[in-house]
Amino acid sequence: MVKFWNSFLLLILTVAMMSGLTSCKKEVTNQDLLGVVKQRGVIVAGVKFDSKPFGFIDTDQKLKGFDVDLVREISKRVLGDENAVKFQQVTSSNRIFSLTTGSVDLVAATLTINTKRRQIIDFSSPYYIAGQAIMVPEKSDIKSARNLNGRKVIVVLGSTSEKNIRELAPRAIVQGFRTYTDAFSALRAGRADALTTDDTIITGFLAEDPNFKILNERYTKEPYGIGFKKGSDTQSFQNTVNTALDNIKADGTLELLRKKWVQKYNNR
Amino acid sequence: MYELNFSILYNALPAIINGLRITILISLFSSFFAFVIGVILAFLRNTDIPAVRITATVYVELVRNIPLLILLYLFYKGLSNIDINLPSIICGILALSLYTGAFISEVFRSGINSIASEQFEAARGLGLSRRQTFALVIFPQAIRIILPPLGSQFINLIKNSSLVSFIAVTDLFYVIYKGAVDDFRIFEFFIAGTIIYMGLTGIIAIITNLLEYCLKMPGRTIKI
Repeated sequence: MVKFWNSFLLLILTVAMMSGLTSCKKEVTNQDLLGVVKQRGVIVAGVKFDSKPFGFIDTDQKLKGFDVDLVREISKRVLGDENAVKFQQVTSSNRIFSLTTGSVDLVAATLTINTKRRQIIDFSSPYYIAGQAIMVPEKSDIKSARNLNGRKVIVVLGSTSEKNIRELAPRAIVQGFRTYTDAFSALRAGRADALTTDDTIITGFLAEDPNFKILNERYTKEPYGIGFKKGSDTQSFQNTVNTALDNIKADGTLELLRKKWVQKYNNR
Repeated sequence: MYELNFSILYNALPAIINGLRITILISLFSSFFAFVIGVILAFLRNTDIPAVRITATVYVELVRNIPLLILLYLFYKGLSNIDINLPSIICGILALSLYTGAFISEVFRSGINSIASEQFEAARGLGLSRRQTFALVIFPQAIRIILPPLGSQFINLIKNSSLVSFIAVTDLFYVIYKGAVDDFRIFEFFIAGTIIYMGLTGIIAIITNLLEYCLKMPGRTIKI
């Protein structure tokens, strides 16, 4: 019994320590992020490594994609050098944490702007509008979201599709994975009947494996935005990036990127 | 600044209980199979036949030296390449049983080896068969010695079972992780997870301590 009380005491200690850690006041004077970035000479950007065509490792082992190019364009306008970017991998489930912990300056990772996330982080204006779609094997009898009830559906944890699928098909058996690579390989192995996520990411998968198809319906509008950490110290950085983004939109660069990455995969 | 708000756990309670149920299910089945595998392996490693002994040794050294996650993926992804699609929960139980079984066999072996060889010789001298010697003389003594490390193995098994969330088994850790990333409430969910896992492992600790107390042989314990 002594052992039990010991572990109980330890537990209380752990909880007390954690809440102590979290509630303690930040005494470090916050340095302005824009100043930090300029001094560093490099923007640390969180992008996905597994979501073709937005952020992915190509066959030549180089990181490419819409989001990657977008960050390079931003860097060109903020720091004057499109290569002054350090890319860090984020996934759907850790991209928000990597912002809040400050391990990246911004996140451009197929991140949908929504109110729930707005409470935690800040967003730029949207730079792309995607829509949730469903992907099934070529020979599947699934025609729409309603057919998914009682069937196995793959999602990626932390994505908006994961929450939406519960409304679209409440009785679907949801299997959540941490990365798109895991999710897609599970679908390929026949572990589920369908996969649901943004149409953009699905078209990327289709380019890899033509034995699957995308259903025509789009169930949501997913405006992608660049994510920032909340706080007064990031405001000037946010403004600078937003100005750069406006510039990228105005001078037609964004349209070029869209043509380069998204249309290429849609017209397969 | 982060403010703790445990009320969000209330909404997630049904999901957490469901996850807990699956974790308990996996742990129970895996514990049973791991125990059986462990006993068999320990027995095989003490047989006369060199081929059997070597095979058992190779198995133990192989399995306990590869990460559990690789073992899991081997069953989950590897087998599906040769068209064997086991449900992910079965893959989890299989991997956990084989993995922990290898460790448990080492625990048993250490217990058996700690019994003086004179006892073995004396038992054989009295006309007991090998199996009888093992079952009537060695095992009852060894079990008392190995009880604490055996309990640790079961505790490890419960904790290791959280890895099955990687192959989309909706166990306790899956629910905790999903809640944390969905609501951006990492501390609340992880603190809840810590408490629940500690409760589970605490039960094992209590059981092993009770068993130890009940099986205690007078005169065999030392007080320092």
